[in-house]
Amino acid sequence: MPYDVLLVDDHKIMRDGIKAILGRADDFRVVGEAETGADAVQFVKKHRPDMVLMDIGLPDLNGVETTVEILRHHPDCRIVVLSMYDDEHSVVSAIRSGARAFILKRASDTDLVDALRIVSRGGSYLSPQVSDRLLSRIQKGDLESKPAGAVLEHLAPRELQVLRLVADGKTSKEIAVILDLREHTIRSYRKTMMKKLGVNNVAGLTQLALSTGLTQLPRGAAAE
Amino acid sequence: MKRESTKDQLRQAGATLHDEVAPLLAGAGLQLQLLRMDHPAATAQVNEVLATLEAAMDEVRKLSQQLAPSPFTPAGS
Repeated sequence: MPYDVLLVDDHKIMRDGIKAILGRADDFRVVGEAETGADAVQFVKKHRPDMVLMDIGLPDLNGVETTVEILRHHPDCRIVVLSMYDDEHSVVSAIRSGARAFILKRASDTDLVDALRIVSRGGSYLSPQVSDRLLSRIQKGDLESKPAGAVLEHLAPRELQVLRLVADGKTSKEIAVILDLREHTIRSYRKTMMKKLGVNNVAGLTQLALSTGLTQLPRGAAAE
Repeated sequence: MKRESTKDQLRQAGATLHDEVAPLLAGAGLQLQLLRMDHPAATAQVNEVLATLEAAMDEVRKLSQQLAPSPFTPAGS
C-alpha cells in the first residue's frame, strides 16, 4: 500500500515536477498539494497523510514553523524538508522542528525518492552535500547551536512564531487564523513578548525581529 | 540612509534570486529528470544539461546566500 504524501511548495513548477517523479514510484501517492503553511496544517488535520514533503521557504508560516504545527496535530506524520538553503542554520532549525530529512533542491538531485523511502521506513536522511558540510563544521567545533539572536533566547517557540508574524505586518486576527488559535491568545502572546523583550509597541517588536534576522524586510520594501 | 537603502536593495536582489530564480532552475531540473526517465537513450545528453544547470544553481545559491542569508541565520553570523 503506497504512502500518502502531501506536497507543500509555493512554486507550482516544483510541485508538478515532484508529483510527476513520485508518480513513477509505486510506493508513494500524492494525495494533496498546498502553497502555504497554513493550508498545509489544515490539510494534515483533515486528511492525516503519512508524509509531508515541505519547502522550507514558504509564505506566512515558513517550513520549520509549519513542521512544528503539523507535528502538534499529527505527531506520527513524517516530514521531509526541501530547501534551496544549504547553511547549517536552516538544517539545524529543520531537524529541531521535528523533520526527519533535509534534502537540498538541486537540478540533478537523484536522492528525493531514496530519501522518502528511508524516512517511510522510520529512518532519517540528509542530502550528502549537507551532511558533508555539517560533519566538517562539527569536526571544527564551530557548529552554530542557537536558532536566533541571543536576545530571543527567552521566547518560547510559539512566541517566536507570533513575533515573526507580527513583524511581517500581520494583525492579531490574521495570526490567530494562521496559527489556529484565538485572537485574545495572540494578544496575550504579544503582551508577554513585549514584557520579556522590554519593548512597548509593535514597531519595537518589528525592529527586534529584523535586527535578529528572525524576519526580513518584505519584498518591495527596499528603498527605491 | 543611502548605505541602508543599498543594503536593502542587495538583500532584495538576493531574496529574488532565492525565491524566484532558483525555484525555476530547480523546476527545470525536475523536468529534465523526467525527460531522462522517459528517454533513456538521451541520458548522456540530459546529464550534460543537468550538470550545466547544476553549476548555474550553485552560483545562484552562493550569491543569494551572500546577499540574503537564510531566515534561520542568527544576527551577526
